[in-house]
Amino acid sequence: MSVLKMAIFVVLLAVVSTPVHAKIRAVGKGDKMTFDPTQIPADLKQAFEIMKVKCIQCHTQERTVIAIQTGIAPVTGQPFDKQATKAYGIKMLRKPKSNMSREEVKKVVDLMNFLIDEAAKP
Amino acid sequence: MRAGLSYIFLISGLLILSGFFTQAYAIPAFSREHNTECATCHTIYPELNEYGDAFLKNGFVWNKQKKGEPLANAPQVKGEGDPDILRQLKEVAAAGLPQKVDEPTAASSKKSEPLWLAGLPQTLPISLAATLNASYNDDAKYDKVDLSTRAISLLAGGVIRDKLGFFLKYNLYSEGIFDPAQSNTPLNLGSPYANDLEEFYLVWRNALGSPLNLKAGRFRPTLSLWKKNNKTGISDFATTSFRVGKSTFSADAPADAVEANAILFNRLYLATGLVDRKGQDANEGYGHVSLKIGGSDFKANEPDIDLDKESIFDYMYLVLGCYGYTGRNSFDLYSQQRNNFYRAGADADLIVKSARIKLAFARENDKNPDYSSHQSNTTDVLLAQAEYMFTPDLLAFARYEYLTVNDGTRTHRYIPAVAYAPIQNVKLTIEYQHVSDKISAITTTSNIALLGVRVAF
Ligand code: HEC
Repeated sequence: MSVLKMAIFVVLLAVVSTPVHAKIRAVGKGDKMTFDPTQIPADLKQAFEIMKVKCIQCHTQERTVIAIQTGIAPVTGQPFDKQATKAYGIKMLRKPKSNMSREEVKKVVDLMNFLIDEAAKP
Repeated sequence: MRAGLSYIFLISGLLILSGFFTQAYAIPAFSREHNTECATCHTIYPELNEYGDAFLKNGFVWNKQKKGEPLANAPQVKGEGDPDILRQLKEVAAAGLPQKVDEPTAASSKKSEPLWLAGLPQTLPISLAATLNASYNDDAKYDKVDLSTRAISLLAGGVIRDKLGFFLKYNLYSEGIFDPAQSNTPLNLGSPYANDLEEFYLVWRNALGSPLNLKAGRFRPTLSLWKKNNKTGISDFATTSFRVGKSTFSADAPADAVEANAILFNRLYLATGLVDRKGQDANEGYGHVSLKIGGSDFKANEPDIDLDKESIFDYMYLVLGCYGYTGRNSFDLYSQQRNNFYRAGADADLIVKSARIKLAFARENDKNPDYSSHQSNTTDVLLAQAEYMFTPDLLAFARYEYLTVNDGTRTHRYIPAVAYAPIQNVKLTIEYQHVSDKISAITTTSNIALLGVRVAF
């Protein structure tokens, strides 16, 4: 492959693929979707349990999975990176009848940050 | 007793307007375009929550990250050209990326670039809303129970390339003024509140890169914190729906207007406009200022909350607003009779977790409200509403309204209501109104029960 072809290929790859997000796997479809539990380390298992219960009260886990896999919040199209996770956690917490405590949200934010880091690994 | 008569007119006008006229405002077109649920912007529709309010104030655009900030994890698109367009193309590209086979895709994340280039929304930005009402009025001479299909309206709204917001509400059918003496025949003309085209306006967002949004068309001037439909109950707020004498002005009435508005320091909202109302020879003007303390700001940025410390203030916010409107109207353009008037008002909206308190005050002074006697009159209206959300689909409120005119006319209204939305776009409201009027030392009372069903799709 010529250098030029190689360069074009690299640019194209950058445009059309999501190599940075490949690391985080989801299992299930639609309302059954969640993160693959095998990739959650032991110290975040509890946070994952909280997420599985609290973050599906108003919508499915699909929203969070997509946000983490694509780096873009699916509804508002805003960046969903480590600077944003806390604000999203706070937004969900402040919704009327969110039925979540700060502690729970904090744990879920930590978990989302971990998943974002994992997603960014080459 | 000319003045007395005009107040009877006023009060009956108030009742007609408020009790029997209800229209939808929620826009499923926005839901479809952004692939999100009604609860994103509404408590129980069409009442807006703070994010819906921010969406409206920002010309139907979600708060965007600042220009120049790189989009996190966005694919690298390189090239020359307008950096702004390039940035937006990147966003579209990021949202429309082909996903791996077993990776999920949200419908909203599939954006078509050709549609975007053409300036078209990704979905047809149209929806319909319909209202059915039943009322029971024990004091009515006839037709104590009235069943009616109140209104069907076509709603459209969206934004073109994040620059030009548009909103349209066209009443396909509306039953207009309720008058059992005349029958229930549909009425779609005449009343200034049942115009076919209720609202159609364009908003040029951030005109020339400034914080100013310029709005033009037919719309309700930005006055009170709550526009006519921003409520869960059936009846309108007295502070915005009341009219005086023969004047057709009410804060709820849409008019042809231009408005400039801006969000400053993220928490201050200013609006000012000129109104060209029908049947008037001089333009009218208005101004609005509101301030938000606590909660997310007017651009929907979340407050920075310490997740380690519990504080009730984090679940609380207060919006304060005030406005003024001045105008001059008359019977018709040839008439020598003019009525100069002004309206001033102040509102407060306090939210603490699931509880909400709305307080409003409005004063109108009219120099010649019957267009003949030149008898000046001042009307004051007070309103207090306490609202509580029991579950995300069940809400109740109690409202008290007090209207007083300087000739001694007094009206008290007590309005408890329950709103239930078993599905987010279907709402059932039961409202009871106890009204006591004192006009020229005679007190009359009335009791009306209303049941409303509203669907939007
Ligand atoms: C009280 C209901 C409720 C709960 C509980 C809730 N959410 Fe949400 N969530 C919503 C609504 C409504 C939206 C729609 C968009 C919005 O309001 O931001 C949403 C949107 C989202 C989005 C997309 C945001 C965007 O801007 O595109 C993500 C991601 C998300 N939620 C994650 C979570 C996580 C993680 C949790 C648990 C910590 C959670 N949600 C708990 C109601 C809830």
